[in-house]
Amino acid sequence: MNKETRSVSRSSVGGRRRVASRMAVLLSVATGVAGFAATGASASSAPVTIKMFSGSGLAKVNQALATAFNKSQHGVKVVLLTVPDADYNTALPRDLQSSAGPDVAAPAALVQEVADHQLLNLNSYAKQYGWTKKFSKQALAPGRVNAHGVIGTNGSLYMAGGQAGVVTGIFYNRALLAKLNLTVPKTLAQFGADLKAAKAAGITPIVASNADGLTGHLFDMLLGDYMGARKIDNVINNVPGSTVNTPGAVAAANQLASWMSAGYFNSDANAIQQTQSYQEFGAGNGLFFISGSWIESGGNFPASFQYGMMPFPPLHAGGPYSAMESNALAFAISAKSKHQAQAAEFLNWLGSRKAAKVYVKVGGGNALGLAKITAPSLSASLTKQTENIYQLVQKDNGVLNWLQNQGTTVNADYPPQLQLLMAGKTTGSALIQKLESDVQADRQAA
Amino acid sequence: MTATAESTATASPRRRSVVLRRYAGWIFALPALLFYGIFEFRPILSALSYSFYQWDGVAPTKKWVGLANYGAVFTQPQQLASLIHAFVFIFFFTVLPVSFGLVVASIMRTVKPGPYGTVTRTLLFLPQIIPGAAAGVAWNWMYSRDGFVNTVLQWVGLGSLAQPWLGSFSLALPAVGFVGTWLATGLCSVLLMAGVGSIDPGLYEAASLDGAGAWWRFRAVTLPGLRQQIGVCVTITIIAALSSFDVVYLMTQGGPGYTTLVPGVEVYNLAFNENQIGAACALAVVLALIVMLIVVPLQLFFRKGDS
Repeated sequence: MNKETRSVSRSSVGGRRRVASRMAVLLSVATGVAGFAATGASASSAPVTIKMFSGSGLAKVNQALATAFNKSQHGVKVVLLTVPDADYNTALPRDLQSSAGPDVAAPAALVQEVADHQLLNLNSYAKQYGWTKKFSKQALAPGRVNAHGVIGTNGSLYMAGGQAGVVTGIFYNRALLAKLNLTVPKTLAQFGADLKAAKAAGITPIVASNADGLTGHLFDMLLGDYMGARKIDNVINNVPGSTVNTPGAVAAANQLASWMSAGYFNSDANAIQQTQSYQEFGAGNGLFFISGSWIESGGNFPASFQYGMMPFPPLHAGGPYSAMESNALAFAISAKSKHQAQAAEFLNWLGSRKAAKVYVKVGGGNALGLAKITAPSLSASLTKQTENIYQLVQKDNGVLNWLQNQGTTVNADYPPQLQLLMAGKTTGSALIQKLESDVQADRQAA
Repeated sequence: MTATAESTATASPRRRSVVLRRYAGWIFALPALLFYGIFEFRPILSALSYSFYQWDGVAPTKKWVGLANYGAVFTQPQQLASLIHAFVFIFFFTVLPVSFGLVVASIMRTVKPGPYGTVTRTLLFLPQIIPGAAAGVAWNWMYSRDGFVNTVLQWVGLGSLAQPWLGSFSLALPAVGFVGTWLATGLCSVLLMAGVGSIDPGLYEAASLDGAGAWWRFRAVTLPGLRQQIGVCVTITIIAALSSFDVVYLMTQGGPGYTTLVPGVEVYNLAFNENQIGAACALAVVLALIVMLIVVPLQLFFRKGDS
């Protein structure tokens, strides 16, 4: 290397050092400005974006909630990450593994996700925002999980928000019900008599899809009647000693089996999916449709189709109404979220009356305390009927969860087992035995 | 420069050339091998490893269970049934399409080249270009209570046979299997027709002169002449039968009950619905072994014929 080369080299190095030092000065100035902006002028900085995981079926509702929140808050923006409903349970646990995944989500399998350390313990935020004072113990219980994987009142809080959602019940074809001169059944026996009357009149009593196991809605409500909502919830919440293998559960399964063998369902129930069952019921080819209030939105039926909703009757006259209700305003925060404080702020907003009103207005469902309770009526509008059923079930402490939500094994076996029951290839007792073994398998796996 | 250095300098390019020539194939194959290693071989090894654990796919720890997941494949009724159904599918995905293909190829051999043959070939091959998922949805409609199949039955006076096929515990499996027949027949027919075209017509002429009828011409000339093509058809369709997923998942998801459950659907259920990654991997490994145990001897049999 000659001298000239060395001097060029040195000057080059020196030049680079000067550039580097100037860059460092610029960077420190920029950082200082940014720091000033962050501390002294936060209103003008870009909002923190938190991602809300949503199934496509709830995208409209969740978007409305996000939009309302974004309008009313400063510094936090909620955006939706939408996946098809069928992929939700599969995608969520995997997406929660990523720090780039969702910040806020309704758990797919709360106990499992808590065990896998995917969800944030919300105890400190519950204290900060006063959720334990604002909501009853019972309202927060579905979001609490203890160290033994039991959902209930004594665990840490992993899911919180508001109280609003859909409710299950009996939908009926108004014209056919009037033709048969039927009233709102006050007991399960009366409902059975209505089914018999429809069958005798040549009308399919219940339209259902069972290729996807959706006779499960009816089975779950029968379990609520025969076993009691709290006992079913204990099984779902993994309360030690709780079992589905009870005389009540067997009686519920036998009741369903007897209706199936009596031909009270459409003959192709085992072959069709939900969408086809909507078409059948919407075409007037059946009297009853057992489902939840989510079917009221989304254009599932022709606009001209007149249908109403009645509560699932109690086992005995004057007994408590029970039905499944979801809580669409309760969410969890990802343990890997980079914006946990902002996500908690969103959860706190979801517990507001304003959020509940947005949810109801957009047709998501019903919110606790937004309607007065009246006696079930056939003449009321569908919206009023649904609101009333939601409140009735809450008043009777009859809210139960779907048994399928106990665990993945139960969930996987529900459709095939109900198909076997429909075909008379299993008995009510055998069905319950199978579900009990699934429950135990899920508990062991957790 | 010394003499030794000189000789090294002249030998080095020659040696380099020899080395390059010796490893040229590997060098060209390297990118593909890398991709195969990363995206095929490594996942296979991972699946093999997972199959010895109880793991939900998310938890940071896995529980070693040894061969328990493999034991479940043969003792758990649903998993065992899924394997049996896969073997039933071989009849629908392989036996029927290859048989139809042979009949079609024999008939088409006698048809003079022209538009009729082209249209027939195109129509026969058409199902092959339809994705299995789309075929599953379409056939779901056709098998429905008011679908095409029942409508046709009513037209021809067999209305008493009309039923929701996919809801029947006895008929759902054949109904789904028939979709496999429909999908595979085109491929087999086109492959076998191409093979028939390459058989020397003189052989048929000689057989006729020897007094062979249509059956004997088929047995003595067509079948031996199509050995290679039949081997390809049988191999492809058996793999399709044993690893079927899309058609079954879209049509029945394994129901009613567990009557149409096949290993592909069960692996999916175990892995993604029941979060039992270990059990799913064990079933997948068993399925892969079964495929190899069937396909490798078949390949040897058909290659033996060539030699």
